[in-house]
Amino acid sequence: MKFAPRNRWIIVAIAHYITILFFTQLNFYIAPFGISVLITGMLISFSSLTLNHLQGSFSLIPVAFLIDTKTPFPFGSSLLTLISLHYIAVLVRYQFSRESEGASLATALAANIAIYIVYTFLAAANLGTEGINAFQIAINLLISSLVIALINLHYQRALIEILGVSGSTSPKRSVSLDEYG
Amino acid sequence: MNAGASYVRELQNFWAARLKSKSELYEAGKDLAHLNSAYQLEVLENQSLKQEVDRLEALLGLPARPEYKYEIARVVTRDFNSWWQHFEIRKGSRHGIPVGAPVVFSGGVVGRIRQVHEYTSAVELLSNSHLRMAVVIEGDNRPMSFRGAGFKIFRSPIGLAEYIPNDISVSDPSNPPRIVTSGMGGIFPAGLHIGYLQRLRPGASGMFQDGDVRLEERLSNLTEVAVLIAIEEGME
Repeated sequence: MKFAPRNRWIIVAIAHYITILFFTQLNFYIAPFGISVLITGMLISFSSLTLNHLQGSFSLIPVAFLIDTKTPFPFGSSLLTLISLHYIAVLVRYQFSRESEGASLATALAANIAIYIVYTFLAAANLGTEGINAFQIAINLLISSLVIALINLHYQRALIEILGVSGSTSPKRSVSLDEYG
Repeated sequence: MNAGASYVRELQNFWAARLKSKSELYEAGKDLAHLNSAYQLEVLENQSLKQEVDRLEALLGLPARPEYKYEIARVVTRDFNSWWQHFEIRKGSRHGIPVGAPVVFSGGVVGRIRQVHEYTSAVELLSNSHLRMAVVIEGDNRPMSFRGAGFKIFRSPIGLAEYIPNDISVSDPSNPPRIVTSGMGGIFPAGLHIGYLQRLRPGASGMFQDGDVRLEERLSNLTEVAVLIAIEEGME
């Protein structure tokens, strides 16, 4: 089964797609409260820390295109943002033990905060500053961070299990992350 | 993908409705029958009023007002975040939806079509800060400017009215001035409900006032809307 090890990014991209679909549905139901959950940082964290840099970026490109179709920003803004954050995480990952759950969560939260900052600047540039409400951004960021803190570990574990089943020699969590890139 | 999810949601609603008891369905049917007869009466009234308007227009030689047809569409996704408020509907260019078309519901204006795809369209909500239009206070023909001002957390969407004449005041909070579309700009027909004027404050120029507009609460949980498509003269 030679397909899976070299093309793990496809499995990761599909998992990211399903996660986005799930959160799009969640946002549909919580929209009346003026709350929105953004978990893109969590997706970047997995792709950057678990896969090698090339497969990680391949797994993020389709996700970025999907996000780009939904935002009112120039097409490619999300792609540039996600790929830039991915390579920043790839450069930083050698400075700490990337297998640890704490590092994964810290990367996810930092990437999410970065996305909020970038989106706020993009919104100011493209949509004007009148509609930007700092309090609402802070509340949404807080709620998104709490959601990521709750599910990040389960998401990472589930994906590693799936990747283990689809090509690696061991499906266990204890498998070395180097095996994935 | 999201359109598929909306079909699944409808299937879920269908099976949830199937679980209701016969007596509940009978009661709902009775209510609908009452509502239906009331609407039939209103349709008759509207028909006679329309004939009267047409007769007066012909008598005074006024130009014909723009005619619209309604395209009803289901809401697929709601994207109300900190930066923009959009939602997606399950009708697109295949159904004749044009970019910029006004979107309405029973409570007034919903927004404007921002982007059209083959089977879906993106709608810019009234509370989106990018949406601006000319409005008037009901019963007063002086135009003002309106733009969306986002959502208040756990509250209804809000808007901002600018260039409000200084003689306008919100003296009775239980009966605030109602803001409706002016018909200027040619996108939205005149007289559609926008919201109610709340707090007033002096504007930047000092010659006018600015005010918060409380928009319809149902805007945030819409499931079905109507797109107004202008019928050009000579076309059916």
